[in-house]
Amino acid sequence: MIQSRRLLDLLARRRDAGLLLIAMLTMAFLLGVLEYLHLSHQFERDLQTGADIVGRTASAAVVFDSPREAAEILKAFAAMPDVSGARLQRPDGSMFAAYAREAQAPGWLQRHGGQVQVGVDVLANGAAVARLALTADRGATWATLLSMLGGLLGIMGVALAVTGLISRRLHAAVRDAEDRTHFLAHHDSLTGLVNRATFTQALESTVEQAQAGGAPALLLCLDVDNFKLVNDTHGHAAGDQALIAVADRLRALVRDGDPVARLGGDEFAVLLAGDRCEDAALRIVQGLLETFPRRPIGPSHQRLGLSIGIARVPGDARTAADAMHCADVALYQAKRDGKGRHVFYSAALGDVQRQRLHLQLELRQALANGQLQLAYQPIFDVAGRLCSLEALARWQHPEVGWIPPGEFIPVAEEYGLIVELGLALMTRARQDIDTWRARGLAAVPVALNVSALQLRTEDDRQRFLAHLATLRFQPHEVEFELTESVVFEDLHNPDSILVHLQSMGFTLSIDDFGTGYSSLAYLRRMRCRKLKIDRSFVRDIHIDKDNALMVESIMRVAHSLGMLVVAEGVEKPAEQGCLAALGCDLYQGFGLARPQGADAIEGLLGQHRADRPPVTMIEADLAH
Amino acid sequence: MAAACLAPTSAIAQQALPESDLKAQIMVRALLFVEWPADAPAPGQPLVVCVADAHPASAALERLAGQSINGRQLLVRRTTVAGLAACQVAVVGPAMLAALKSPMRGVLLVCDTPGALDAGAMLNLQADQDRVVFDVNLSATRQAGMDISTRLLRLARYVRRD
Repeated sequence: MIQSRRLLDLLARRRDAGLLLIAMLTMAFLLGVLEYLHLSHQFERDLQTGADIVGRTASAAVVFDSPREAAEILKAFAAMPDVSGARLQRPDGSMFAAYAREAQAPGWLQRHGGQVQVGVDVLANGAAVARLALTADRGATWATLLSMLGGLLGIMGVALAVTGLISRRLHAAVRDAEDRTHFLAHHDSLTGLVNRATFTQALESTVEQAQAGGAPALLLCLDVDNFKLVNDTHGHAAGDQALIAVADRLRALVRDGDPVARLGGDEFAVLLAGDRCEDAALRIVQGLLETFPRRPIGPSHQRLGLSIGIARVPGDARTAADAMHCADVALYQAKRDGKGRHVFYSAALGDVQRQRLHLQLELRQALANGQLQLAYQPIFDVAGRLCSLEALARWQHPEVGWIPPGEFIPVAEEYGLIVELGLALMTRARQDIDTWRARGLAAVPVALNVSALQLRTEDDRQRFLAHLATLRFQPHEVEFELTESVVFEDLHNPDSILVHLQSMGFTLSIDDFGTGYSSLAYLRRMRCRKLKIDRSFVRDIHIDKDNALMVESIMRVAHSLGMLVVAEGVEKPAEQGCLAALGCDLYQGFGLARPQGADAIEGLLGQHRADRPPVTMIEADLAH
Repeated sequence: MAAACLAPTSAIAQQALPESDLKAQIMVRALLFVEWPADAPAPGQPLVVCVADAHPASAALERLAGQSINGRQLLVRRTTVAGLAACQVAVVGPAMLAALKSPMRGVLLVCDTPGALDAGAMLNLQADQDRVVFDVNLSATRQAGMDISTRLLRLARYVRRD
């Protein structure tokens, strides 16, 4: 392709040069014609002048009828080398005297240059007494013209050569720029791998060939695990370095000619074609998943894991788009299975994916129709008094019935519905609280869960705050439960929403503590009001000494930072007893109360009315 | 000093004409190449050729009267020495030439006597074998305020220029 472009280039350049040459030659020709006319005119004028002078001199010889003297006078033409002959004739046409140049071997120009004739009347006593006719060769005119044209063409030739040299350099520069542009249009500038558009073209033709009975192919979609974390913790330069390392590794693992692309962000794709592509795929999988993560990359010595989804062509997909989709589904499954692994696409995976897709469509509808509700799980203090309610999403499907959050929350996250879902649940909480208040029930604070995906973009954060203002939530009405990842991401944001919420007086609690980063640094920095210890530490705490030790330590840290500790997943009285002995502030779990709908919880709220004051007292005490 | 060593063979001489007619014709043709002073005679005035009665060419000259010489009509008068000053050309014999004390301004003295150039003649015609040739005394001509074209001088047998 590049070769043919170069050829066209060359032809265009040749054509340009040809046109230039023709223009120059035309100019030279026109100049030549003009110069010829000019020279010819001058020549004839000179001849006329010469003839005039000689004619005048000869007039006396004619008057005195002396041809000898006239012939002598005509010899003056010897001084005009172009004149080849002269004839002095009487008015009656008879020859009076003549001159002929001594014969020399005429040059080529003399022979072919043509001749010119001029005549003057020889006057005496006011009348023509004779006529002098000259014959001259145009050879000299031609010689002058040719030497002029020669000089002109020489100068033009030099100019053309110089122009050609300059234009060749310019062309080379332009061609380099074009090649660069061409490369950039088809490649990723960071890694030098081909880009999505180019890869898709290759994929399309491979799928077409495989469909037509050609060799089978495998499409691998790769994604760097926790890439966002690399960017966040080590900076974008480290992120770029990681991407380059992955690209280099991929390039080293594939055979020459196998397309490797960076599809965008931290996504890569490899296309392997041929009968032995399964072996090649395994080699890549091994090279990337087993040895690669062990190598630290860059100055930050980060270790990268990859997830890989693989689709077979034509087994799994018949079009390029389908193949891409299948590999994506497999990749997603690899991520859900715990990352750092590869998954081949299968029909069953496809079904799961289709179900999720279907669920997503239904979820959109449910959001539009207000089918999402909240269940409320009570949180008690050590004396068994109701302190707050954790709001949990519930989906009442009109046909299927209850759909568990473990099923639809990931779908909402995957398809970008989590923001809408969060806002819808806030609205629902407002309605429930208003209902309770209308019925004279003194409401305890409702804790709303906030996902990291809900607050990822600036736009989402603004919507969240705007919605909060619209619903006129007061700090005594709602609290927010945040996963560790929310806190972690927010921590680096100069426009921290958590700081913002805290300054508005809202209580924040850290959810599922102990399963994620469990960073003491951010505990100190954020100073959230509550810390919820994950259920995995609470389970069998009365038997499991390790858990007990862990919880005790966490509680000590939390208390020393002025936080209240909430134990999640309390199921047995023995567990609660142990927790109480360790000094736990608040309790939540099936053993105490299951989540209940807004109506069902009203009974509990009614009871609580009587013993409300002590709860606030405890919180107030421990806050200091 | 540089005498014109050319001796043109005059074609006129070969015509079967009497010598007097031949000389008259040459005299008249030579007048075509003579320049008179700018003041006299005024342009358009006739060109007066005076000739002594007894001169052999007088009759031949009279036959040529009426011709146009460079736009001026040729008049031929027979005069004595006293009348020569009013002429532009005086065709004189040796006696008349000797009678002239000094050259007259604006009068071309023409003779056909050998040695006349020394006596002050400006144009002297000579028969040479069967031809008529002429000598020119350019210095005398110029002293008298006239000039003779080089075209004519080329044809002269001898030109005195001192």
